[in-house]
Amino acid sequence: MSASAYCGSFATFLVGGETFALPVEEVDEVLLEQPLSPVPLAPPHVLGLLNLRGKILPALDLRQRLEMPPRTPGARRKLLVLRGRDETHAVVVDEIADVLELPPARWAPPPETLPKRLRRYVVAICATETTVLLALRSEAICGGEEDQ
Amino acid sequence: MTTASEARDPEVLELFIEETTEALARVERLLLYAEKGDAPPDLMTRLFRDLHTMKGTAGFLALEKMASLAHAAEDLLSVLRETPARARPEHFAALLETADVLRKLMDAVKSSGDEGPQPIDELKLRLRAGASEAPAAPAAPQDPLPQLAHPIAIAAPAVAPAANGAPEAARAEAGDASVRVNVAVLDSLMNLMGELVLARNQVSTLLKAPADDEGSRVEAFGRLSGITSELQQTVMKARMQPVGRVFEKLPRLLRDLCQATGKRAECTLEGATTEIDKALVDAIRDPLLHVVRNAVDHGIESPEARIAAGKPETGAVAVRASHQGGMVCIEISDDGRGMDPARLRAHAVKRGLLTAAAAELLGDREAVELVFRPGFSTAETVTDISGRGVGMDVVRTQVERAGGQVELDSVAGQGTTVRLKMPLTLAIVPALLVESSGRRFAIPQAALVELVHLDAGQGSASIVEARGAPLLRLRGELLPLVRLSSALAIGAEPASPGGNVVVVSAGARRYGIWVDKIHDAEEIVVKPLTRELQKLRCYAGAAVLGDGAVALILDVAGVAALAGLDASARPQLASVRAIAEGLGPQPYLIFTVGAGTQCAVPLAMVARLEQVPAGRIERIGRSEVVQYRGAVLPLLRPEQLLPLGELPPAEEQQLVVFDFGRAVGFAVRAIVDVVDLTVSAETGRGAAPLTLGQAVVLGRTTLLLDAYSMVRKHVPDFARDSERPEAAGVLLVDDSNAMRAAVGGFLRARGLEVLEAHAGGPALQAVRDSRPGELQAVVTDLEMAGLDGFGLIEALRRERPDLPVIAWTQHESAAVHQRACAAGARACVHKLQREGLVAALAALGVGPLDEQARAA
Repeated sequence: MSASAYCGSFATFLVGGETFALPVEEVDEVLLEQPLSPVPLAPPHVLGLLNLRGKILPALDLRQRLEMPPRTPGARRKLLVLRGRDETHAVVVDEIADVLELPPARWAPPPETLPKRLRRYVVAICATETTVLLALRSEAICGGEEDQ
Repeated sequence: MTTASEARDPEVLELFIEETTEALARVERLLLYAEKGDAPPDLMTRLFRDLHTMKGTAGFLALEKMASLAHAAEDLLSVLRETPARARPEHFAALLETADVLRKLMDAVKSSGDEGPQPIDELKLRLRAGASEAPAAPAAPQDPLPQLAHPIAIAAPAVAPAANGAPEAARAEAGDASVRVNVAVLDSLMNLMGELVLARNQVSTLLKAPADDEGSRVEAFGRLSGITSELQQTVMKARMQPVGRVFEKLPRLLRDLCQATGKRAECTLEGATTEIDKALVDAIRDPLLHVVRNAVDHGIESPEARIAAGKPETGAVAVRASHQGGMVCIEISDDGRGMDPARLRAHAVKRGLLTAAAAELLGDREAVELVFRPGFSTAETVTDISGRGVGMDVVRTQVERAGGQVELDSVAGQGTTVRLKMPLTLAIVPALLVESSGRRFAIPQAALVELVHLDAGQGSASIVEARGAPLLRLRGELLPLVRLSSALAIGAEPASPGGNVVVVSAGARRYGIWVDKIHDAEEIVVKPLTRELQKLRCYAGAAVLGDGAVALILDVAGVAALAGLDASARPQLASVRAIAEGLGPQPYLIFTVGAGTQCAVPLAMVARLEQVPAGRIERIGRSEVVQYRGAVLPLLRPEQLLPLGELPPAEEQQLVVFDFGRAVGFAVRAIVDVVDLTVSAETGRGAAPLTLGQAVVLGRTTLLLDAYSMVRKHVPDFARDSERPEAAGVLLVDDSNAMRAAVGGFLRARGLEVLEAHAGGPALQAVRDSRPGELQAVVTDLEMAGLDGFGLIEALRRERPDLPVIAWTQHESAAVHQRACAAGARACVHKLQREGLVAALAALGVGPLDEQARAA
């Protein structure tokens, strides 16, 4: 994703108390928590498969990807359906927040203090009055472990 | 160096023609868009790439006119690529004419084998003139590309005008992903959609109404169900294509093969209108061409031989397609020499696939099946041996991957019939649902052999444990058993040995999948998994079940690999086990080792007995070997491995020679006898390592040796040599199919294993997916779409610095060679220097290359 992509609207959402953002055009829809079928031997960030109107998508755990502690059992979750170039994935988040208009000038590169292994997932940050937003790189979130 | 024209392989030429036809169509289309002012932004780069590839491949095939004309056009394009503003209408006219002339040359090659008298010099001059105009020429920007307003005297293609030209150009190129659909089929789809909407309305009315109207609900369901199945059939029909699309190439292929081999054969085609799913048309193309090629190459005899055998001089190859029991059957039969079971057996023994004793046990029908074993045949060795059978293991793998089956009938002297049975569609497959640790999985019916219920150890089938590995004993055969819950790591193993076994076949290998429950068969719609999950290899996809839940579809070959079964199969090992585990009396060879301990091995495992003077035994490090019939035979001493009492060696050493794909000798004291023994699983209770148990034979306690484990464990490199015969691997990366086929064939003929990739991205993936040591070098083209050769070289330098890369290019300029080497290539070789490539590989120590190549 190039910097020029950062001129539109962003869907923001909460995971583990932090706020993240993705360009709205990458988010196809939001689902309530769904039953998932686990995939034996899959990498740990693949929580399972879900049936979205006959289409089968893997549900990915953002907490696992971003090295956050696992969610408390019983808490409700939401799923964001992300449409990539040729594959569609769902990511599990805690709560959906607002859609924000954020011009490119508001974004800054991720801080160097961010651990290097997380930097491939975070493309930029933006400080609002109340919180700090982390913009995610959806192809890195959805890509396999070794994909660049 | 042999001239390329002599080595012009008809198959490579066919690929070249196919590829060039596509490229020329693309070039023409792009030029026509450019004329209309609709050029995609990377127009010049795309044109350049196509002509560059054409030049290289034509040069490789010694098609000199095509190569030099493409070269001239490439030069012009390379100038225009740098400064697009200099493009003028006459440039496009010259390029379009070039495409026409290239096509004429290619047609001449197609029909007569050479390029014919077509003049090219004047056109070449014009292209060169365009390329050499000084960049500073004042006239240059007079008519820059985007403003090309007036079409030149060439008809524009019949496409609807588009608001935006570039996407249109891109769409036109994505042609193969679309299908022609009969308007009548579309109309009936539309009607069914209308019906479906009505049915939905009916259901929604029912939902609002009081819920006690059973009759209406049943009626609504009946209607919905009827519409659904009709819709399913109609959509399927829209995907159907006549098999004839693949047949078109056959007469031509046959003619070329006859010309190349000096044989005579005629081809009859039947059932070309038989319809099959579009995806399957593509899946059967290669296997079908392969089988037809075999029919001529190895089935049909020379005209003289045919007359001598009382057959008509011209052989007959018949290809028939028909619907049979819900499948499409494509039958290829010839009236050639057929396969001789005796010679097949002998060949399998020679290739180390079977011991002589095991080969004797095979019936004629099973002997014919030998051609499906991996490693049975290679083009050089089999031509004079069997009627047919080159690469039949590959044919079987390809057909089975698409859910089909291969059958083979052959009568020595009368001919061979191969039947490829394909499902009508890939999208919906009948599958069996099984349950393990509370989860459901689907197994495609095509892989099923039979279902076995385990009745707590009773009945005809039972499970025996062989040193921790469960085996299913089924009607005198022992099959490896995979417990699904342990293979997928989904839960503890149940204590009781009950449950069900699904016997499946994966390629040549059969094995049992042990599950808790077997549910119903269901027709499932196969949905693909994401790439990340495809990499797990044990799942072929996923499906939504009738109750809305998602079930994974097992890939039986992947599950076998996961459980450590070699799916590409050394099936003889299972039979060796079966013999060792004892099913009825078997002949055993009894001998003594060391201080006189009596031992036994199944006679069927023994290749031969030998005696050598003790002085001929040499030590290499800690191992012993003996020079024997021109080869080095590793020796094992069972008394040292077990260990048992030892005695000083005798003057004459007695050897028992085993053949596990590679000969290994056991040094023994004396041969005692051959005795029929019945060995049961009980014999093996508490067996010592490397033995299968003990028995009392001829009044003495006798150790049953596990010869295969001894060899596997103690002969240095055995596991690697015998299980990785494909070691010296080269990954060949080139975007031209024809180039890959030509160079790949050339390298394979020199004993190298060649993997192929058509672009940098897939090449990088192939390197990541390769097993350690599988690849020894990468040979890559530089000009490719996507990740190009330079990018690939750099990526590999970062990821796999140990893996040498050779750049392989049509560029002559030293700058390109330097750039490739700067990026990390170990060498840069021009594409026309095939021997140079071999030398470069040899310099990197990549073998095995034959002796000639080494000397060169």
